[in-house]
Amino acid sequence: MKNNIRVERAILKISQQELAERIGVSRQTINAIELEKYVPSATVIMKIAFIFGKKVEDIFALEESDWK
Amino acid sequence: MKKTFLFPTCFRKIGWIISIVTLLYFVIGVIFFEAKYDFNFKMPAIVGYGEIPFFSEETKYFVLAHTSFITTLFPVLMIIGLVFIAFSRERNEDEYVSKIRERALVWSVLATCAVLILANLLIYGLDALYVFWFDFLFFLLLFVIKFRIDIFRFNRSAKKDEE
Repeated sequence: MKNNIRVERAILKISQQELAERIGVSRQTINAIELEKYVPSATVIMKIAFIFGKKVEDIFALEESDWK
Repeated sequence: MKKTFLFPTCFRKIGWIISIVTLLYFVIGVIFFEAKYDFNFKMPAIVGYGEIPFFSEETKYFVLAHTSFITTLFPVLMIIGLVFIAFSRERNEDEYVSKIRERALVWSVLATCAVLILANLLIYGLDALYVFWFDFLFFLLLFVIKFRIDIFRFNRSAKKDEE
């Protein structure tokens, strides 16, 4: 699953640590999500969208491999 | 959402202490000194044996069973210690760490099953009994090792990508 969390963070000028604290996960998890090493749960996805003030589909996008 | 039960973080240290002390006593006191420091005692049991465990033909119920450190205390203390180490909350516990724990659990179950199959096929006699006896310890040990390696890699990869 692709995402543009890094871009959105840059727009809001918040660090990975700050975003992690607001969502309630570790900084390492935010890092893994940004690097697309980990697909977060629906709860975390919705929290991220809420913090950025955007819709979920504006931040996350399905890839071909997600359909397999 | 209901969270999986995990012991508090401090239990990991307690688990290490229990495991290391028990293992040291076993290795040094029992193996190195050839069972000189293995001690016998009696335990209230639902199912027990005669005077000599395993070799008595008489099965007794609700008795004081004769046992020793090697046969009873060692596996019990090691299981307690390893369970505390394996299932204590991480400092930065979140869903990704839970995922890592779940993967390590699956891997260690499969690896233990593979070892059990091989043991069943290749080891016989009284030695086979010891293998199956300590099988659960082996599973816990594998899980702890796998989980700790994965957590170390997880923390290290985050440090490399640090802003």
